[in-house]
Amino acid sequence: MSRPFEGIKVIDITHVLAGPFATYQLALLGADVIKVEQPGEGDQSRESGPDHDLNQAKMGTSYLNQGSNKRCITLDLKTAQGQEIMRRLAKSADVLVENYRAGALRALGLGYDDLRVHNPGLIYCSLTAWGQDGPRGDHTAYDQVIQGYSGVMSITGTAESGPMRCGPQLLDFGTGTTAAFAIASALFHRERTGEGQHIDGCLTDTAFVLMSAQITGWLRTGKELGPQTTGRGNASHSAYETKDGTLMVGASNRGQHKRLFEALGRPEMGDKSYEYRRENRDAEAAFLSDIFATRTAQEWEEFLQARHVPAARLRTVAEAVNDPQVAHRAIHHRHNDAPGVDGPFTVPVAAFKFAKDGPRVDTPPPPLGAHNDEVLTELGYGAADIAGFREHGVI
Amino acid sequence: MTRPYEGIKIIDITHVLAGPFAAYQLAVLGADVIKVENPEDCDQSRNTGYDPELNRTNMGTGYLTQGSNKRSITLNLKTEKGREILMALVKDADVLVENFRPGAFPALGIGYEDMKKINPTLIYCSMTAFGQDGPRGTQTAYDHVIQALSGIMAITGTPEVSPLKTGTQVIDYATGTMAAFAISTALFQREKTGKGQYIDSSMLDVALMMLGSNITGFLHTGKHPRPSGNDHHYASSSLYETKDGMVMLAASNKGQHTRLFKALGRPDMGDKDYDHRIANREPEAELLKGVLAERTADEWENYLQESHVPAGRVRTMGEALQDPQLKTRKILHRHPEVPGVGENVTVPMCAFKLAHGGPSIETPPPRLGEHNDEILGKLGYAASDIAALRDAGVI
Repeated sequence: MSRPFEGIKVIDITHVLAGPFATYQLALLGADVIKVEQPGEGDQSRESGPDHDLNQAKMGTSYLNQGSNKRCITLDLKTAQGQEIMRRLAKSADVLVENYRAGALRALGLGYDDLRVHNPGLIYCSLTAWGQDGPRGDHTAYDQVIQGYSGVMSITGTAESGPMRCGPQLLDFGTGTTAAFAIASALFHRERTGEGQHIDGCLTDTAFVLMSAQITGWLRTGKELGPQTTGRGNASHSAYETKDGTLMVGASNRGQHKRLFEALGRPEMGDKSYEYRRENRDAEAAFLSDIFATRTAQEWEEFLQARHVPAARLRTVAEAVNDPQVAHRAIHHRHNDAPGVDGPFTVPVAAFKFAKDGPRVDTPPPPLGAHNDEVLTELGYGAADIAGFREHGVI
Repeated sequence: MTRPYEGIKIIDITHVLAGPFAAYQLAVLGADVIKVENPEDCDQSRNTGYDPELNRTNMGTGYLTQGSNKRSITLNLKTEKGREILMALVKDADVLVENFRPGAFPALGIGYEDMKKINPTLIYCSMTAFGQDGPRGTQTAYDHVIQALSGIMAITGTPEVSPLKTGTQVIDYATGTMAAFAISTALFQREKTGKGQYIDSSMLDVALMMLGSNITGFLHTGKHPRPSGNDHHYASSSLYETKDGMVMLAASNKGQHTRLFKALGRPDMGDKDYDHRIANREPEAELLKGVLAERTADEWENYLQESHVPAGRVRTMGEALQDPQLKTRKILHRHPEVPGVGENVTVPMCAFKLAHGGPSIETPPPRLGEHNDEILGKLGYAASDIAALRDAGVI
């Protein structure tokens, strides 16, 4: 058996986070991903991250994060020769992913309609902030702009703090995962019909999907939402201060609600309907606030989890990464001796496991243009051609 | 044109959000999804949402959000007869998705090892909080518990208001999308190998993937990620107050940085090297604060977007949903009539468009057990058998 995408060639003309993450997921599952970057410049994520030396070397940790298993070439798509090489690459590929401003690649003669002529089975995935057309089709944004625009920020925070940005780049990550799903769906479809596809994904759509539950509720009832803090909703589904830190409790379904109050010595308070709980929030919350203050967060986590009540001590990222469960899940891969990076570094892999032939890291994130000779030779260019491209700044 | 998953049969034994969302994404792309619920204890999402009337009739908006295009049957899997019917359903299914506690299904004789004996090409996807085994393998959690445990809350908010929960159920949706990706990957793999697959997906894995660049940076430098509120270490990628509201800027790459300061009449300040921007954050932020306070947020959004500088006014979710751009995206579907609910149900569908055979909704979210007769009839049960199963509480 082999990994799902072995033999699948992906041209990755993306930068920053959402696009590179999508192709990273495909690369872990066996795809041959060729990352295409502007000569001399490179993906801006190469210059971003907390290690300034790596940023200077264009190997910043933001790039390392999703650079493994890819090959890298440089190509100036504004030159005729660069466009010609791209057309040749696309002809040999199964998938092309790009996240330029809508219409930018079309203007260079590298849009979906241009490339499908020579490769009708091509799956061409475009990722943008607002989609390929419409009144905002030519607008641009990053994760945090769409967090602000879509209302994600308006429902995060407290009444005092006002709208707050969510710490992780959830829209980039969500859009990357969604794009990986869309591409896998299109590959499956092509396997059965032979047809290519154009995928139009965007950060705004992802933001609305991430707020699906709130949107369906709001459109049904017309009740506009304020910040969804942890002090709202059912009392047994909230955060509490303990002797030494915050405890998040999630006794949500009937069984968990019953077990929570049994465990706390008040069985008569448990196993209540959702509606009853909403109406009696204050009494439940008062009891829980008092009792949770009597022990440490870690003690409560262990006590409640042993009784099958969802609960966890609030942790920092550093604490979370060091939790033994994380090592057990093998979410991270450590690279030693990667070219262009002094010392070891560790990157996330994938958020699921397969019984066999699942996601795996094979090669480290390559330096800018590391595979120019190799990839161009595969396309049929001779050593003299390649030297010419280099001399003229095409690669 | 056909959609990717037409002809694919999925048994969906999931509840709450992440699992039902994964199955929903496959359903809007054409899969025949059969949702299986306990007749006495249905999916708790049917009892949650913003409309209390609907919560009482098992049609809460929490369920409606991702119930379209599915068929619904009830089966008590604690009875032998219930399990027998499940096995009959699984025999010719392509995919089974479940999100019960690890070990719960194997204990009932309906784990992957049991099912692959009757259907070796089955793709069986388990979704849990922490994965199938390991030190936390027996523990349970919901979205907000994972937000607390993973460190996502610890990096959201300002030092004063942190930790904060993200307003959306971001881990649930991201886990659902990730599982949809894993399933579609396994379906593609099966086309080539003819073999089934077991997928072990976890919410904690997803949270840590979402924190990817924070974690890669932290593990390399030992510098803890901190809650930075609405500020970025680049002043040109931060939030500012205007005359009447807030605007989020993201002049991130060198071109955008150049254009921002040119548009504000200070070309001398543009195109700074990334490290230089961090070192000179204060003067840049001072200037931006002063200038941006002079006009309204809408004016700035229009003006900056015209100059190709990513910027957006901070909106509520309701405002964002009325933006004209949304009409060009096929993200929302309005059901003309939902049996058991009435009119006025609009649900989000999918975060991408396809050139052909893309996501669409045909049927409304079904009532609990709505398709019992239809599905059991097709399995060969006579009307009298079905009546007896109903009497015995099996369905």
